[in-house]
Order: sequence, then structure tokens, then C-alpha cells
Amino acid sequence: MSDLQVNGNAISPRARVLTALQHQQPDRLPVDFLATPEIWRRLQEHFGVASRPLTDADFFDPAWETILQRFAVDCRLISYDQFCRPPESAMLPGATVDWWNALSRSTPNRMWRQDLPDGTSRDIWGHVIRIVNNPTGAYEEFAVWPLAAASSVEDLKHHPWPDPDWWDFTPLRNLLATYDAQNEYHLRFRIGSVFEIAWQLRGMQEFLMDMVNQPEIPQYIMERLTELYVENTRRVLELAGDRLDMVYFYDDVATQQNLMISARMWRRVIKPLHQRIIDVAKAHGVPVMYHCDGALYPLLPELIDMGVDVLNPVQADAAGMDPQRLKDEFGDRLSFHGGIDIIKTLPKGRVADVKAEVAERRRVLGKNGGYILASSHHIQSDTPLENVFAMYDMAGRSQSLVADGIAK
Amino acid sequence: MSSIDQLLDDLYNAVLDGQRPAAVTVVEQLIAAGLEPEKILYDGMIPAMDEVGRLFEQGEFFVPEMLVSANAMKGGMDLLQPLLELTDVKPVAKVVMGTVQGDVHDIGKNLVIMMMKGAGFHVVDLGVNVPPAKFVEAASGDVAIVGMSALLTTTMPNMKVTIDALVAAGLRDKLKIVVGGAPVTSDFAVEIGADGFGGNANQAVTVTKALLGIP
Repeated sequence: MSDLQVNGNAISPRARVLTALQHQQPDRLPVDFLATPEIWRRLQEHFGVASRPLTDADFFDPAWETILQRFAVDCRLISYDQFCRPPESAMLPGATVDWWNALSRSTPNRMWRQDLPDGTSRDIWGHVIRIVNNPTGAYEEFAVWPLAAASSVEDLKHHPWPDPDWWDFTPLRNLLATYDAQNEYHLRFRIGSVFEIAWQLRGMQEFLMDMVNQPEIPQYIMERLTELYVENTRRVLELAGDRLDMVYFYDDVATQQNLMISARMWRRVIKPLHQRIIDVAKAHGVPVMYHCDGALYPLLPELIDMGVDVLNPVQADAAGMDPQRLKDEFGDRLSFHGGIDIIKTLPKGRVADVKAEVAERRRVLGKNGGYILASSHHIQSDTPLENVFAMYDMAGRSQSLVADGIAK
Repeated sequence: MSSIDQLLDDLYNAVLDGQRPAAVTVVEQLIAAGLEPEKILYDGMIPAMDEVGRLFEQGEFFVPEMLVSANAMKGGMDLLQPLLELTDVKPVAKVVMGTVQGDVHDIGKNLVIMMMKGAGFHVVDLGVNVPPAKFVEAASGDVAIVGMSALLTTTMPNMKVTIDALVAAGLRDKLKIVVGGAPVTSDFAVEIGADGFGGNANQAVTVTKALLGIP
């Protein structure tokens, strides 16, 4: 393991994660951190970390990066949408570019939007987004479905589809040289989803009905997206594959109780597209993490065969997703990222409940490595900060390993 | 098999297979053949949607198959509804449904509404981000069921706020309240004083029928 050590004997966060992903017991449990903007801001207040004005030249919010350091978070993210600069022709009248205020931003990474005078925003894909407040924060919704009216593939072609050349990854190497100068963190490159972003353009009901009645429509949309991800990933890995430890993509195809679509339909329609994304990563020797909420159990053997190395988020309350079962059946081939419940434990539980869940996940999922602790989705705005501190308590990551007799 | 029975059989299959144009054609033929609209509904389409629910529960049908079936039924209902309104046929019961205040997620709610309609309920869709006062306003009259949906833990408490508002308006005792949504559990439903919990669209229908004593 000497190649993983830096600074003498101290193991780096990156080495810690890599060790875990090699299914070996690291010095302590590696962790990741994802939260809604409200949580980030409350943590900034708590730690007294002020925001400085952010400009077009920034790719990360340094204040949020400071929070990650306070929690000794081992993972960092590079996201495809940080590097997207749509051309003038994609800008609507009166629009201004915003990089920092997207409510779905859950990491220090910037995220491109154009804000319109009517209060809505457009993302890279042309989704129409508006804001709805709730008792403890706010959420974004899609105000209209841009492809709802399309009745043929010909209609779909008229959408302002992003082009790979909207992306400029040339700053990436220099950026990594400053953002992670010591090669200290586990870096994963994030790209988007196929099924999810596609239905968000068409409307879910229409899209799912199309999958039965006019499959050429979903097929065209999802292929357009896949081609872009494949090209983005290829360019990024050619440029900085030596610095990127993982490729990450997401696609929710399950509900709390079952798959959203049949395994048969998934195999026919979605699996080949996911495979193309995975293949690009594997061609560069880079492992893959895949996110899917809910009851994904029936597809796990196939996802492993496709080349998925890490599964996020492990919602223990979804059907068939009991961590012990997952670890027993797949733990020698699959690592896990996530696991701490955002529905009950984090928002409603006591500090002791959070600590107990961390200990339980570490005991089960973290046995012989293969586990990165994180929340089962972005930590939500109704979560007390003391529970966040309990989750990231250093004692919970290491001491009990000794007590459990797992570590020396 | 008489030609009417054959057509009812065709209608059943068209709805089950999610073939909207076929369902519409058969309903036209049945109307032309003089079959009462309620028989077309109760002997053709509702049994098909029952079977859709059963296949969904068994894991043979998934959301897309459920949606195309509901859509095929809707095609038939667009023809039948005006005729049913001319007769004294009452819907199974009247339901108001919405996603609670602060929450804009409607996919689950819309699926439940489709399956409720498929079971013969008259459903008033209040949409998303529905304030408690709007539930109260819609729940007066002959409404039997209030259905509430939430996807976020941050908005789930508004289910309780809405129930409190229904209590304050004196409507609680004449209503049954059913809740659902990804973070919602049966424990939570009990905790906030709801009458039922639907873990998916089909269960929402099953629970609602049970609460109203409908077989």
C-alpha cells in the first residue's frame, strides 16, 4: 500500500477511498458530503465561513470547499456542467447567466443556468425551471415540458440540443492543479442521466407511455443525451484521466417498492445506453459509480456485469435494499456510497440515532472496505445541524472499528 | 358469445393492452349497439383496470403499462362521460386529491388519480402546492375521500396541517383521508391521524375501497 501513502505515514483521503474501493479496510471510514443549499448556508454561519463574491472565473465556491475540509470529507466532484458555456445562440432575450444559485446545487461546484426576466430559468438542456418555497427551504420544479408537443422524431430534432462543443474542458488540468494540488482527494467526474433528463424534457407520463406506444421518441431523446455524455467523458478522460479516480452518472429507474419500468424494458431501452457510458470509462481504466434511488435490487447483478463498481445511494427502506443483504450478495464485487437515511434518521432522529445508524452502516457495509459513508440523498433543509455533526463525527469513523475488532 | 359480449371482451383487452384508439372504437360500437353507458363502464373498462392493478401488484405490469391502460380508459370515458351525466348513475364516490403545500411533485399523485378513475371514482384534482384552505374548500359537499401526496420530508408536515384544517372546518368526521408519497409510511399516516396509506397507486385504490366498504 506504499503507493497510496503521502506525507510520510498519514494516509491521504484519496488513498483512503481507493483502499476501501479495493475492498480493503482503510484506516478509517471514508466519507462524502451532499446537501441542499440551505444546509450549506447554515453550516457557513455555524463555522463563520463567509462567502466571497464569486465570478465567472470560479469553478468552485471556496466557502463550501472549506466546509468539506471541516468535515474532513474524502471525496471531491468535478461535474460536466461546470464546463458548459452555451453559445450566444442558445441565450434567450433578456437572459443573464447564473452559475451559483441553482437550488439543485448540492456541492461546491458551479452549475450553469440562464435566468429570464419572467423569473424562470433554463438549464443546459432547455428545461424550464421555477422556484417553489416550502416551510424550511425551497425546491425547483419544471414549469413546462419543452418536448411535450413533439409527435415525431422530426419534431424532436428542432429542440436546441446541446452540442459537445458547448463544453470547454481545457481549464480542467490547471484547475485540478490548484483545487487539489497535492493529489489529495478522491476525484470523480460527474455526468448526467439518460432516462431522467429525457423524461424531464418530455413530461414523465408522456415519456413512459411513449416507451410502450411510440418507442422511437424516447429512444431519440435518450440517444442524443448518451452521445453527448460519451463524448464529454471521452474528452475529459483523454485530458485528465490520470487525475480522475471515477466516472459517476445517475438515473432513477426505481420507486420505493419496485422498478419503475420492467426489467425487460430496461434491458431493451436503457441498459445499452448506460453500457456505452460505462464502456468509455472502462476504456480509460476508470471505475464507475452509478446512482439510482429506490428498489434497484433486481438489476444489481446485471449492473455489476455491465461494469458498475460503486452503487449510490443505498436507501435501506426501499424494497429489497437491506444493507446486510446487499453486502452479503454483492459486497465482494460492488462497493457502496451513501446509506444514511435522509427521510427519518437525519431530519427526525436524535443525535444518538444518527450515530447508531453510522455505526450500523460501518459495521455492515464497511466490512472489509467497500463503503463510502454519505447521506442517501442531499441532506434536506429540515435536518438539524447537530445531526449533521453527529454523522460526520470523527469518532464514528474510526474508534468503533477498534472496538469492533475490525481495525488494529 | 353475443356480439355485445364480444365487444365488451374487446374493450377489456384494449384497455388492458393500453390501446387507446382501439378502446375508443369499441366504445363507439357499444354505444351504437345500444348498450347502457354504465354497463360499458362497469362490465368493460373497470374490470380491465382492476386487472391492471392486479398485474401491477404482482410485478408483471409497471408504471408505463399502467399509464397506457389508464390512457386507453380515458379515451373511452371521454365518450361515456356525457352519456353517464344524462343518466342517474352515480360515481363510486367523490375524491379530492392534491400534492400538499410547498411540494410540486405530481407524478405519483397523477398515477393515483388515474387508477382511482379507473376504479370508477369521480376525482377532483387540486394540483400541486395546494394550501390547506383549498383542500377544505374542495372537501365540502358530497366528497368522501381526501387524498394527499408529498415527496419531500420538508412538506410531509403539511399533511398534518391540512388534516387539522379539515378538523377545524368540521369536515373531518364525514371524510376518509388517505396519504401517500415516497417518504410517507403507514406509521406516519397513523401519527398524523390519516385513515389510510397507499404505498403505490394500486394500493391507494385498494385502501380507499376498503375504507368506504366497497368490494
